[in-house]
Amino acid sequence: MPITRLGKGALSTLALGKTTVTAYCSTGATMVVGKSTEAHSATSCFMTDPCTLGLSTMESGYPTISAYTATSTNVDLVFRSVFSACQANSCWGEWGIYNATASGTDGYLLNRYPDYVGVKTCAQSWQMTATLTITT
Amino acid sequence: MGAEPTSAKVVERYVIEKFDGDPPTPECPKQPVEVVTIERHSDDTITTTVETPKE
Repeated sequence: MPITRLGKGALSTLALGKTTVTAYCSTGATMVVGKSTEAHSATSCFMTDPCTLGLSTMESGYPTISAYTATSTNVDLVFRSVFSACQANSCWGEWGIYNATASGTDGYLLNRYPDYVGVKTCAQSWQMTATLTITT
Repeated sequence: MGAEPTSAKVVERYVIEKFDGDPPTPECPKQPVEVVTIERHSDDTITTTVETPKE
């Protein structure tokens, strides 16, 4: 699903240089995972399932932004997190990019995507790479 | 999950790489046991692929 309403507000606030919103940067962005595959609604502002499975900070070097010029039609924002063996062990049904390190705090969910991708167990580590493309 | 191929632009792509045990590191690279790729296109079609790379 595209950017959430709160995500749009957060991006707009950041564009004005205001510091009331944490930037979705290497030290500010996190990936959050939940269990619900419920369809996204326009007013959704976090994981639908109240029992969020977990959050994970960005891997080194992430997020990235693609090079752009006046002729570019796309800009890619790439976020990557790893959920280790001890993290987020359950059904993965929804995820998004967030800007806080704990659910229920003052973060703003940038986007939410619902889809079932399997059951993570403590025997595995899962790496999620999310590419959001701003396009014309 | 899944859809017919489309020529619309990809606007969201999610790649979930599943590793047995610890995740790879620069010192200890490893292949994922499964890779799930989900792409949403500008016309709202969704393409999902699941690959199982071999060592």
